[in-house]
Amino acid sequence: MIWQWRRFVLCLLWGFAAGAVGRAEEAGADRPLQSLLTQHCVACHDGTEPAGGLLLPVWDPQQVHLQRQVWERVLRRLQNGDMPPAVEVQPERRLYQAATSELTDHLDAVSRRQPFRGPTETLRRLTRTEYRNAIRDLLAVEIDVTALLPADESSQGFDNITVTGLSPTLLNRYIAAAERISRLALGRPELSPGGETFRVPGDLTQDRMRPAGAPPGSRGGLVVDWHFPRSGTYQVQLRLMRDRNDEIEGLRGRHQLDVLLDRKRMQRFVIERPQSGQDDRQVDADLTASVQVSAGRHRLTAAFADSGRSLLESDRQPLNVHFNFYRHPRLGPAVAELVIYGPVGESVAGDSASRRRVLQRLPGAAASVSDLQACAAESFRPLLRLAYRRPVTDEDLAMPLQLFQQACSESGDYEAGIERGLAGILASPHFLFRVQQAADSPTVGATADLELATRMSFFLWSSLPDDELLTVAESGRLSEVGELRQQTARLLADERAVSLAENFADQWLYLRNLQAAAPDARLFPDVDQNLKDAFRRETELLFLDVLRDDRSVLELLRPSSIWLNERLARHYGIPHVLGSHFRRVDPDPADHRGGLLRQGSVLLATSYATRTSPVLRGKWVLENLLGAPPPPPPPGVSDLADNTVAAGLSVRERLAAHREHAACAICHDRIDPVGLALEHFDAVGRWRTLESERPVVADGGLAGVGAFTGVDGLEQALLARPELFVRTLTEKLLVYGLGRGLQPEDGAAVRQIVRQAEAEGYRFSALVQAIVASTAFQHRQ
Amino acid sequence: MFRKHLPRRTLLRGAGVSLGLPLLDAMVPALTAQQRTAAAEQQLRRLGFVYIPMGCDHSRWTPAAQPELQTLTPILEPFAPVRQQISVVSGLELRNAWPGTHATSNASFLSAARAKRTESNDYYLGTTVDQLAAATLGRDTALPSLELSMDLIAAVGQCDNGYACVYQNCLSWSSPTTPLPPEPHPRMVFEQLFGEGGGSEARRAALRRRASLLDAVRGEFQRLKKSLGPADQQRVEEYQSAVRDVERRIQQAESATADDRLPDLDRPRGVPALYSEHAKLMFDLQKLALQADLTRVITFQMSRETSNRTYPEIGVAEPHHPLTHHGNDPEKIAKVAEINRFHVSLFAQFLQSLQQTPEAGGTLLDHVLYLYGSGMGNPNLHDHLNLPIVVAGGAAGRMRGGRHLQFSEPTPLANLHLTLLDRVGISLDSFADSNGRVDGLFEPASV
Repeated sequence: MIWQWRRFVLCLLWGFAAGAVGRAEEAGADRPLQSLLTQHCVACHDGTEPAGGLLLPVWDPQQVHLQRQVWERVLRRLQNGDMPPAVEVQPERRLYQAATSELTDHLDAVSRRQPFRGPTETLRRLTRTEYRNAIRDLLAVEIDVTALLPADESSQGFDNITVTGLSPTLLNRYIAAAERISRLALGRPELSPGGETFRVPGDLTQDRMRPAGAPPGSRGGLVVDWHFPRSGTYQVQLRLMRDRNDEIEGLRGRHQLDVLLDRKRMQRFVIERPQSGQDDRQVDADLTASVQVSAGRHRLTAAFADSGRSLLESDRQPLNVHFNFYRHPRLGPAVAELVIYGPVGESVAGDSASRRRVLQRLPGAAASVSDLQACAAESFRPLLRLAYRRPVTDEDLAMPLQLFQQACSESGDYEAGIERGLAGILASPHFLFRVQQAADSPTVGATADLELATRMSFFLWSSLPDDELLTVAESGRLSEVGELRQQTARLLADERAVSLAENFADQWLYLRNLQAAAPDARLFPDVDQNLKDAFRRETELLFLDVLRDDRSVLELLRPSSIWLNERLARHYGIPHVLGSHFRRVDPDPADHRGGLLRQGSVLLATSYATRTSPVLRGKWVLENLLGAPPPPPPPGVSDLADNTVAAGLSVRERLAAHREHAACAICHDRIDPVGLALEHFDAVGRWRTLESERPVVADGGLAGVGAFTGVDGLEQALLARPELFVRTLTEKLLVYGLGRGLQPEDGAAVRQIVRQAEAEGYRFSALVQAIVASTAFQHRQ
Repeated sequence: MFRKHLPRRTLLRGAGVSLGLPLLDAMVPALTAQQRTAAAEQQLRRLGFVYIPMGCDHSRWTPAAQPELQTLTPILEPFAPVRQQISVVSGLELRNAWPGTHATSNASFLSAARAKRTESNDYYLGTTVDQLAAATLGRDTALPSLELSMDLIAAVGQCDNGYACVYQNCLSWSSPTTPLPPEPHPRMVFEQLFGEGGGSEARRAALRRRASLLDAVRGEFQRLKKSLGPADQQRVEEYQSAVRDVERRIQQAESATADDRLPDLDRPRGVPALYSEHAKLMFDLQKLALQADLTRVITFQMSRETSNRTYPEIGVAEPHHPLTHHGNDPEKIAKVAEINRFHVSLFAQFLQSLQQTPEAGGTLLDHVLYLYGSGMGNPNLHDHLNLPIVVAGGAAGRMRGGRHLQFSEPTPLANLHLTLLDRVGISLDSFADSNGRVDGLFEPASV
């Protein structure tokens, strides 16, 4: 350390000397980085107590490869405009650009010579979502994984980062799940009739809406997809919503409640108030339909026949929600619960897609033991290949065959044996864990392409590689440039890439928190489950547009079209959008809607129950769109004293206290102005010009950019420096795809990816291709 | 959107409660072969709470002012076969349920706390006594506690004079902000407790199958380990110890099943149409849960506050709630009393079945403590005085049954809760608005 300190002093003296000669910028024109550091950084970042604990090393291009982490950090702070702090003298524009350019060049050169590979976790367990998708792709069975497995821990914003643990309880769950799924896939009988219960959320409005998947002409109710285990008779029982007095809600007039199996009507119930003297409890005492169903996945719909709608007469603007007996009662009856029970009586295994997937050649009636074994092996082999994601060895086959033998000879039933063998495959660590060996591991050679195939499929599909991808990997051609590009494009174009929207974007944008958002019911009565569902769908569809149409990722901020349904449109105050289905609409600037900054999902998730939070919004933008997350508040910091804040102040005025205390202002000067620009959106995402009768002031700002007003200004500021947004999205995708947090040394790889994407107009596929081709993802020596 | 039913706990936000697992999956045989001695079972403590809404008809409820329960009043008459194992307590009040509403009657019954008056999600109550017990008693069981009801409750928002629906729906709260929604469906409860169920032979067979599956998995981990480098082998060794752990538990479960006394576990089909059958089924499930030691803390809401349910089975065709606003009309009061008696009879049948179940040199009833009652006193006035309260069970033989305890001054119900906690080995200084304990209900010996 001492030699560094001495060098520092020398450097300082040199710097002062240089400054004494003439204008600093001119003297350092050919060494812009050195000049910048000398004039704007070293004064604070040296000595025994450097600011922020960062002691800047002397700038020496020959030493950069040893100081990568520090210089990457410095570069990032400069690029984000965080440093120098706003209160200090800012570097002149040309010097700044030249300096950051110089630093970038050096760091990139070092990275080319010594690519950074990052830490490896050799064994990574499938997440709950990945498990579900793997079962779907392997066996054509859709399961409700939330009932079988616990949720995964979230780290770095994603649930596939810390996935190395296996507690006894979790192992037990996997084993129980394996037994259950193998039985379901084959349609083997249970001890007694089973079934499922589906409950509709109590705050779902069922008037004037049609659930997704229900046929036109229906209203309310629910649509469920379920895997019927065997072919036979099932009973479907419905119960209606009741109010707090246990009375069935909305019982006026005559309604028809239909039960549909795959769009075909199985039964129609008439729902009306009973004759006097009869308990209205009888109305839904026997809403049971008996249906013949073949084994496999089917769609059950329970919905009312829509009886058209009239204008609601009301003294005030009617609310859009109808679910609470007191505040906004239901207009018609609503379904509370759908219970499937069965199979009752005789049932057979049937011919489901999953059975076809599992059972290959069936043995004849008088098959010998070796015949049986041979048939079983024919079933297990293809499943093993897909499940273990590699060519099948004899040892792989031995385990399920042994289980098969045990079960088959015990029961004399071939399929019982297959079921047991399949359970073994699903419980095997070769299925449950992804192996990713370090690049310099002695055993890596032959499996590198196979491991790459698995990384690719889990990145883009959150699921197993398919047959084609495995074949290409087995042949050793996958890492060839052309083949890699082709396979990546194929994976992106596949249906399964929807997992990027459902799994990646869901986590990146914190959409999972939407369900927990609970706006105060008195201040915001017009909020129901329908609205939250619509918010989420709106954002998902935007992301899917960019993915499927391969648009520039900047369209996430400013899309050419938006998605609306009636509920959402009413909430946003956009007229002439009718019906529950989502459809594309051209955005009208007067409506203030468009990309992520203007979507209800984000705005609701970043608000409190009673008011907006510019701090939460600022933090969200900085973290998720700019990759510049603010640090958490220091420990022991006291909250703003409540009694100094008058209730009559606007949120902006209340937050002003943040910036009066110097210790708070350091961070809040950066966070608050970003969120304050969004003040025109209230706590549930509606546009407002008044905040409790005072005009909204949406003046904001962004470090490194300056001041602006409103969401238009913020959007413009983000789009003016697109590389920051693209860098952030790249980083998030990399974390998700690599399954590890990023370190400063990954900076060069990220820059390379952003450059490649820029060359292709920042299109989504360009980003993904560059990520897959990057050294970090390729994981090579 | 439209979700499959999940065990209720998983719907809670931020509750951090683990999923209760069915008998087979739990792999936590609470009474393992080693532990299953009479002495151990004698130490078992269980607490149950049963709630009836909208108070009662005091004229037919309150026994004579004598310390011994000699003649049972019309409503309490069904307790005759188990008279020596119940005691009636009169003069208890719930001060924090004022100003009288239905929501607060339900909410304060087990919490004795004042509910925050709000329609939104910022509700605030207090931890209920059953959850205090579950924190200790629930450590050794697969399910820390079990919450049951008779009504499918889905209402959200405002339910009663500015009080959020959760106050009316949920008896049991694991923290001031965490209500635990109860389950009314017998089949859901069964599956949560016993999975598929089946007879003991079927359960043993299932355990054997699982053991052989685990054996195969163990081999697979070994294979995996050999294929990796030395640094990674250590990680696999951690997994292998998880495998051994599960193997051990399966072995324990197998030997426990060998001498278990559980009857054939038949999965119920649906919700019975008759109230009495539905209630009986819910009580049967409680008994099974206690027998299998899957849980030691149970709450059961037999009907909801403001319920407009009619009771045609006993000839009451009028809805319950309006009847309780009887305005001193004797006919209406008589019908309220009929309903009260009906509920009592169902609970008494349950106690009888516990009494007929042998356990540890006594009966199952000897080793449980149940509190039965309402958070409302006179429903016509909506007051919370003279709450109808019955304590039933044995507390391992230390309860003084067949008594009528009367308080001359209104005494906090919380005192009784505190006393019950004592009996299950949880000694607190106070609970909510308690100002002492209830003496005379139990022998003063140490637990």
